[in-house]
Amino acid sequence: MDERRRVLPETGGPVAYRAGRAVSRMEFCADVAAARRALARLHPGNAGGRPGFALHEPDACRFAVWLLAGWSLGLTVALPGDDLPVTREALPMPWVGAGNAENALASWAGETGEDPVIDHGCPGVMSYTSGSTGTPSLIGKSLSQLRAEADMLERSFGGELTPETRFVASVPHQHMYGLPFFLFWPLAAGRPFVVEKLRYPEDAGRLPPADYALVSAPTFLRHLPDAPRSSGVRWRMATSAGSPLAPEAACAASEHLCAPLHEIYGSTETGAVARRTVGQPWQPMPGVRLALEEGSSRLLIHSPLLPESERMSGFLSGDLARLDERGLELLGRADRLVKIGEKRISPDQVERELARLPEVAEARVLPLPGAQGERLILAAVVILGPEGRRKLTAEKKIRFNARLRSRLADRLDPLAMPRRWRYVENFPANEMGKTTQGDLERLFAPEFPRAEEIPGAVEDGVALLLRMPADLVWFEGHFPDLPVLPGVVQIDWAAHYGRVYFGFDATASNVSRLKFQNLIRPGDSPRLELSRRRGGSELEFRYILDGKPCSRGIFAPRKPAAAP
Amino acid sequence: MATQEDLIHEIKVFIIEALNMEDVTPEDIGDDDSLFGEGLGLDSIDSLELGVGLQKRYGLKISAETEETRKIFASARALADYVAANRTR
Repeated sequence: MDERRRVLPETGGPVAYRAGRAVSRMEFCADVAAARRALARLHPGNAGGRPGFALHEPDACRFAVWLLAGWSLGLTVALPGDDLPVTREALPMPWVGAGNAENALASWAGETGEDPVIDHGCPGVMSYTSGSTGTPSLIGKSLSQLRAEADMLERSFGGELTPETRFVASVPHQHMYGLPFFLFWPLAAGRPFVVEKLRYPEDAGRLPPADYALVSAPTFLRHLPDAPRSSGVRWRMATSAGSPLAPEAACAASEHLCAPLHEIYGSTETGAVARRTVGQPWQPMPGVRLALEEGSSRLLIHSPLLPESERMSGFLSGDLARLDERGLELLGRADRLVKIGEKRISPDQVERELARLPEVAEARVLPLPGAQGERLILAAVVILGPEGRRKLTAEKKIRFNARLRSRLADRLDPLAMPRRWRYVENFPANEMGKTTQGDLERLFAPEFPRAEEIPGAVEDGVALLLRMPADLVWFEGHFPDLPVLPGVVQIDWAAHYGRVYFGFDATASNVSRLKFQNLIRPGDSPRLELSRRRGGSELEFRYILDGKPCSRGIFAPRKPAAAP
Repeated sequence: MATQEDLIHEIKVFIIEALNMEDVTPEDIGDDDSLFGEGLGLDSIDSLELGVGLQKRYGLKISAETEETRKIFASARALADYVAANRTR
């Protein structure tokens, strides 16, 4: 079967817009021809199934030029996520793109070229997956897979677009979401794309007047409604992928854009698997057939986008699912089950239960070591809705935590109940809009050491042995080479334990006779002595390490301001 | 000799420290608040850990999960009553 065909369609307007200026088909093809010649001079080869060259180019149009040039030479293209020295070492092959001597596109003016003809059986690209956890892996995609995905997207969503609709992205073009959605689909369908990425939601309002399709991710879309609208920018549709978007956020973004918002469920291995619009269950993409693995409820995906070798068996995903006549319901990662007290608990289920509450907009739930280090607890990072924010301002955090817990009480096993809570404006996220486990864990870095009471050591007071974990948040970034416990933190801890043990209100006090004598370092176990003075109206603190004084001070009630 | 009130306070501090409870101070725990379920939200593993800690500190003997232990851990006051009556140190 002859698979040689053109990537660009027979007809079509500009390929791209750079800084508002159209990049014509002719210019684009001339660049591809020049890039072909530049590549040929590098004598790359697909030796041993290895990619011919590595491409790192932030300019989406030049990226497409190199890609098509490489493919027309039958080369596989490696797509690293960055061009750090360590990545370059891992990919010992010619590198092209920004910052490389071979990149001479600017000097190619005057070249002419034919629309590149490409063997669609060509191995295509090798992409480094980001991988929310663990080490990134190398994943290959043949050109025919990419082509099939572009065709699938056009069949699914093409009807919502005009031929002139410009694609614009807030996600990188070299990843396995941006590549098909933002680059390959418009190229194959003859629609232009905008070279400049939308970095901030405000950028969307600064686009020149035209019809647009937005290729985006949850982090960007959540902020979008806060950005000003531009009257000349007409959105035809938007897509979101990478992580789930809460229904309220999806609704708000869709309303802001005055356009449908399609959420995409998929993975690097499978391409797009299912789609949904706000409030609807997931529907499989055209040609995709879904089933559940017997016994495990893991989703089994049959898709025309899978490599030939997996077409028959299907791809077994790591996601648990439920299927009925309405569509697909995703129930979380199979490998995210954690064991707490011999029970298998799904943090994803807890996330879903939390997200159902009227106070909560979105939630992430993660396992953390418990107080004794021998058990796991669940911790929740929550974005509150307006109602939740109002309540949290009105009452203490612990009361609010209890409120959420009591709402969950009849839907969750007590062991699955979140024990630690963080209320945030946004989840920490990388440029792909992915929130990693590590980012969330950092929100729970300990603020206080573990304190052990030494009975009877101080009269009318208390002596505490403070065991400080090395990951204590206060050791971070103070002096990177010399982590020490900052003095203000020592004062804060003294105030904290004064409150815990004696109900002493340090906020109404000044600190006097403050002295810092010796440093406290990670791993140290200093002793903190608190003693009450003057009938409990004052509180003295001393930090002592191995018998040596580290610091001391006295909390004394603030004197009323002197009359002027 | 410590009063019952002092002991209740001591027990609250003990729970907070033993379970590393964030954002919670002794004043947040009512003397008769339920420690489990909707009150403080402790679970069965916590009662085990607390039990071990209390045995060490006060020289108590608390048997494994029984109807009686549930009563002992009902509230800070119930726990203080039990400690006062059964402590050996």
